[in-house]
Amino acid sequence: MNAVDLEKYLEGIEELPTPNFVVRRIIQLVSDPNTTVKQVQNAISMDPSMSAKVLKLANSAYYALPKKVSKLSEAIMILGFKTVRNLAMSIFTKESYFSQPIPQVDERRLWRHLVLTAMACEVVSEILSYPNKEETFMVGLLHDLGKIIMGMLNPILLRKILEYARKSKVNFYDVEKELPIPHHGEMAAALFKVWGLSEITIESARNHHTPHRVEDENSRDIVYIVHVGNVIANIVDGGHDFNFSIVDIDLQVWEALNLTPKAFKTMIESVKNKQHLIEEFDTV
Amino acid sequence: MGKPKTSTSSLNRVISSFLREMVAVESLEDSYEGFVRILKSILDFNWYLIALENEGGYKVVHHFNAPDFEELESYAFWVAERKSVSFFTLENEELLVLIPFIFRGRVLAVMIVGANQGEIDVELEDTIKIFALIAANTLANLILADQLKERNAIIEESRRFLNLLLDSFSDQIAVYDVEREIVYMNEAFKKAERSEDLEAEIAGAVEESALRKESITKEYETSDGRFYSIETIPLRLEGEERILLIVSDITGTKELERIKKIDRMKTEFVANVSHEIRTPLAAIKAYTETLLYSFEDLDSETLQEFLDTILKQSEHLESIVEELLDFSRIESGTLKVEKEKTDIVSLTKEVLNKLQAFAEKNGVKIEFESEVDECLVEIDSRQFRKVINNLVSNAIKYSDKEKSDRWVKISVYPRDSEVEIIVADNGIGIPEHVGDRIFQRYYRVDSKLTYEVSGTGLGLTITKEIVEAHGGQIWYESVEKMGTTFHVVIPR
Repeated sequence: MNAVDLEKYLEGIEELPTPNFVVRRIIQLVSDPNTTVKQVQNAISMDPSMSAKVLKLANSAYYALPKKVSKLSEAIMILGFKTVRNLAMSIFTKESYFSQPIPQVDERRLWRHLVLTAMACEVVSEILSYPNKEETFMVGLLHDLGKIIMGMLNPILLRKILEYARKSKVNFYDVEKELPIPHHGEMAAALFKVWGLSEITIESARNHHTPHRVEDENSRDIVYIVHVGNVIANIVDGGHDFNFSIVDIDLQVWEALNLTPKAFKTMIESVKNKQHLIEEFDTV
Repeated sequence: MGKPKTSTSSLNRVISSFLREMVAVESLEDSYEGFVRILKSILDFNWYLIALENEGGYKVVHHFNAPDFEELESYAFWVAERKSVSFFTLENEELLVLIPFIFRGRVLAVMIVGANQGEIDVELEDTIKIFALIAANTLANLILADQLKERNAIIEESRRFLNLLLDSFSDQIAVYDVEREIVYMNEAFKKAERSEDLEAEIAGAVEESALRKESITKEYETSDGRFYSIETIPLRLEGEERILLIVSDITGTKELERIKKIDRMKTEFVANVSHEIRTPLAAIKAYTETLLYSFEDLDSETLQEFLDTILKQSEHLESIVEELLDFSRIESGTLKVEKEKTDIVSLTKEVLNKLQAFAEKNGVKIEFESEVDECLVEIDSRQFRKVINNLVSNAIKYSDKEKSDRWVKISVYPRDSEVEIIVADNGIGIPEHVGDRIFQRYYRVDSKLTYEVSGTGLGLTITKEIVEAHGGQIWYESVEKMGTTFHVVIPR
């Protein structure tokens, strides 16, 4: 793809749905240490539909709260700032990208894969004692958004890649990487740049298939975790993300995270146990 | 959205408090107070509790002013499932802070505090999360240390028990490493006094076992007459080659075996001697009876022959009885030698003359050789005659029937302070395995009661006793089928 085409491509990205003011405000607030519960509550309250959905998710079986929560402030305290931000982000993503049919894409199945990867990232973080597990949840949720974008911007290309991958029994990225166009990770990265998301979110989307390419020290761990989360999601419930072969774990990641077969098995078991909770995120 | 930030000042506070508090911590119990103090530096609370995970439930191990755990248990279970720090506002406006301590995905403990804090900000949440993470790590290490201590105690106890057992054995037990250094020995091994030759034998067995990688069992008689069983067993312990050694003193068992053997030999001896006595006795009786009932029918030549036979057999009987008497004197320790100056050359010649007929009968040629015509020695001539007689008559008795030229050669070698008498023959020889047992009482090389060669089995015992009573020595060299040479050396 030449420079002109690429520019046109990126123009297309800029026209895709962008988080609204409320979501952007929540993201901004949560990244500030001095933000209080009250401030976040005020921000969410500005969007009544968002408020209702956050409360519904907080009271869902996924969080299984010991008591029913009726106030936003309570939901924020119990679930934590970052989880509430993740809920807002999930609601926005589901509504804007997974609520209407997209050519070539079974958006419900891809959404399942994203939620399961997000959950897997949390599990991996817990077992590796990685402190920012909420961050890995969000990154896991967004990592494959590039595939949806491809369906929105270039459905013919997406169809061709899918046909070839299915026929040859290879993975989506294996076909993509042979083509002279940005792959789905790079497209998602371009979109998140437009949204103003953090560097680690952008890096994770771009390199979740190529973790060894990460150069930024701050992003490395989280990219590695998303890579592992994606592999585990494919092991537990594969086939929703256009892959027609086994998704391999990168040896460098395995060693860098000090993974052991035992720890890896524990991760898979934990994710399996949470698999039935995916539906809780469909209601948003 | 920037990357997640936590005010560095409060994070630094938590980390530096941890370093300060945990330096002094030595046990799990010590750590709880430390956790409380660290949390106090970031949160103001009225009460707290720490509950450790315990077989699927939670057990409060430390608390201050905390409400009944039953009321809080459901929160503990929930936060353990959620695996994230959470805040609940209670009806009394108190803030419930739930802090799970998670290590490698496992909830080790839950800390619950009741705080006054009305407002929570992002920094507080993040700081408590970091606190939980470091606390979980500390807790995991302390639990591990406790388990190690416990395990060590168990191992130490089993080791002590095993030592007690091994030390109660009378057998000596030791373990050698590849360098043949002793790495373990039981009390018996430590205390035992081992002679140098036994030590050498043990070292040899250990070496051999190590090289051949197989068990060796052997018995060893020390120079001081004790018997040991030595057993070496190659082992692999913790991937290293070791040799287990067991040394048992089996002298008692050996002594019993020896007594049993002597008893058996005595039985054989009695049967043997009875036979020896009965043969001449039967002859004397038969000839005497014939004389008694057929005296008139016998001519004088036959009479002469009969009486000769009776005399010969009586003399033989006498010599047997004499031998038995000598033996009983030896046994009772009353064998006495009355020394007087005697010419050993003429004494020997005299004995040889008497044996000439016996030698001729067996086709054996007697040769005598002496450098001097006369050699005076202080001996008991009556006893010493038996020495020469026994040695030479044995040489004749055990001559080799397969050889056409049979001889026995007696030599006398006088020296400055002693005289050596050598009795050499080309007879059947003595098997190598017999060794010095030839001088043992009752011993006969052919212990089967075949009576092919007559004898009580006491001759050489008596011979040796007499030689030794003179302060002399007796030994022999022999090659089977070639011949035997006896040496007798007595001081002059």
